Amino acid sequence: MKQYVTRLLVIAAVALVAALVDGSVRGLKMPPKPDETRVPHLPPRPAGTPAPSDAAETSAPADSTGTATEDGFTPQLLAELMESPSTILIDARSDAEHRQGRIPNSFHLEPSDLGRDSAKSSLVQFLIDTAAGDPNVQFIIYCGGGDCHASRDLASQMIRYGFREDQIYMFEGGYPAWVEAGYEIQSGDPLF
Amino acid sequence: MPLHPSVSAPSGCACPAKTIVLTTCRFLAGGAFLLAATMKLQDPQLFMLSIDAFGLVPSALVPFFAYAIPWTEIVAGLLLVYGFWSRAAGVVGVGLYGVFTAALAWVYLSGADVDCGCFGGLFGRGDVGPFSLVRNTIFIACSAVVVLRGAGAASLDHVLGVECAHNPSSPPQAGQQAP
Repeated sequence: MKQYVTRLLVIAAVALVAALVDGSVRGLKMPPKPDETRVPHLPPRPAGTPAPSDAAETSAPADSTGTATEDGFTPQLLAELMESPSTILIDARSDAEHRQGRIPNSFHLEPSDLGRDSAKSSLVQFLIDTAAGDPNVQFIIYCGGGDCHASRDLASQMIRYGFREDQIYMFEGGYPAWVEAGYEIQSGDPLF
Repeated sequence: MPLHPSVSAPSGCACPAKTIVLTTCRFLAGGAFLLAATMKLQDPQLFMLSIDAFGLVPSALVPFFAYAIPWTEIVAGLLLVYGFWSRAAGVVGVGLYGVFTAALAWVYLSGADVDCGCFGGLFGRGDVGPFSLVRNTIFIACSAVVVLRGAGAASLDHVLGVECAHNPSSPPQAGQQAP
């Protein structure tokens, strides 16, 4: 018995030393955590264009600094933002969920798609190029709503890989809130 | 001339069927450890996000665990695959897979939408569900078999006479030395 305990301790010690050496070389640092409460700002509306009446009634106006508003990030606000070409929607849910139903014109991306040679590397490159080419672009990430970590994880990964933190927003209500609000959905193969 | 006095009378090590079963168990449990660890260490920060999402580890300790877990998997995985100190490595296997399975079960029952992070980003998003629970249970069983029955004949333990002759489930036979 003593022999096995000794071996277990040796295994633990070897693993611990290796982990500490590896960790100190590569850095024991947590990835950045995005601010989940920030609300994206609405794009400037061309002069003379009336604001959609339903959105004006139901959504709280987001201020230009992108800070949280009273009502937070509602589906109505998202629908308004989607009218702007500077808004890019990203679905962080699983591939199966994305195919089954998604917010229209959203791309599918998972945290593990960044930083490795994945099938999504062309999409990642497209997003990087878009972010570089348009300083006003807003990436809005959503997932399954509720206690969903996929949006946060993807946002953290995007910030790590060079996307500006102030370009990334999270639609906390996610797909369920969008469906519940009665907006149209899209299904089938991913856009990219 | 045997390599070690105790190898001359192995207790149940050389039976081909048993050797196949034990070797398969070792390779399943150890191979999964090595694959999972390699993928986790390719992007430790992605694994940190997974650990943090489970909410079971204080945030300050997440980076430590993000390195400690895969390196423990590597050490235990190598020992299991080569069949050296197999019972001790099997205990580590039962412990690690047990903790992973308990964490997965807790997340699954709580209904949280969390990426398993089991194999890094190898298979994309790893949803926590019945499949991952059953898979981990199989790995626990494989590790437990190694703990109870040893590494089998196709192992360094057998070649070096480290463990095979001393099977805790069957007392040493006459003329056989305990290590």
